[in-house]
Amino acid sequence: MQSVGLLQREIEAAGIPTVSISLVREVTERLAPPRALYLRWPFGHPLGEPGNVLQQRRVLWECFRDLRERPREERGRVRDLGLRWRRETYSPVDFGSLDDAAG
Amino acid sequence: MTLKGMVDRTVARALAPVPRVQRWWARRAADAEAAGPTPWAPFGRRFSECRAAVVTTGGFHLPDQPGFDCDRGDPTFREIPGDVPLADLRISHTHYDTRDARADPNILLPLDRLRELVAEGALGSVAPTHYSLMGYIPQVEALVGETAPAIVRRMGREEVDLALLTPA
Repeated sequence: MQSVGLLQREIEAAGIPTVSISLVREVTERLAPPRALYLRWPFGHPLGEPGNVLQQRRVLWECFRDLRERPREERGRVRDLGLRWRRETYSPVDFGSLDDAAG
Repeated sequence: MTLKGMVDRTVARALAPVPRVQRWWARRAADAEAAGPTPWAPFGRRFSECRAAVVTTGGFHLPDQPGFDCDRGDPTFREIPGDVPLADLRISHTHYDTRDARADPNILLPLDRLRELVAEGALGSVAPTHYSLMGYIPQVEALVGETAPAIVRRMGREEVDLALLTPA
């Protein structure tokens, strides 16, 4: 968690927009990387369960949405995605709508 | 694998079903140092024109790349080609239960998912290079002073527009 936060800050500082998953909220909050999404999921599973394509795409979509929508004033805040481990049903997500929002 | 490696792996597997204990353990291990102001690079592009790169601390490497030093901690990184078949990857990381990551590396390094998005026209391209480390890195100075600048330089050369970072 700490390594990800440190690297993320350096990459963002170099001008490349970043987004990360956090599995330990308190550690990520301390490092305050620009865009972090918290999942209360087990270690080693930031995008979910093996073979669960819809779940993995949902997490990617949440990352992209955060890149698109998060305002500068909310940099460093850890957003809780609120997705429960193995107790969610995942539907297909529409990535195209994210670019539509960009105009 | 060393004795310490075997102990670490056993602890990681034993803790895997107990997320609360995992988080307590990670909090204890983290450095309490203050982080300073949060950097910000505005994102204003269309994803369909973006090139994406992944940075993961899942401990992946190619079969012909050296593994990570799990006992002392390891601030180095391995370059993972964007077109690698994920089944070719190895993992040397004793600090988390790697069984699911071996079964499907996409849960940490989602290259198949990103390739699908490119095929669908939702993402411009997958970067030629992605970056894998192992998450246990007590050598913070080397991580920030050497590894991060090397990754940033490479991302710059490869014209990366956005980076996704995933912890193990």
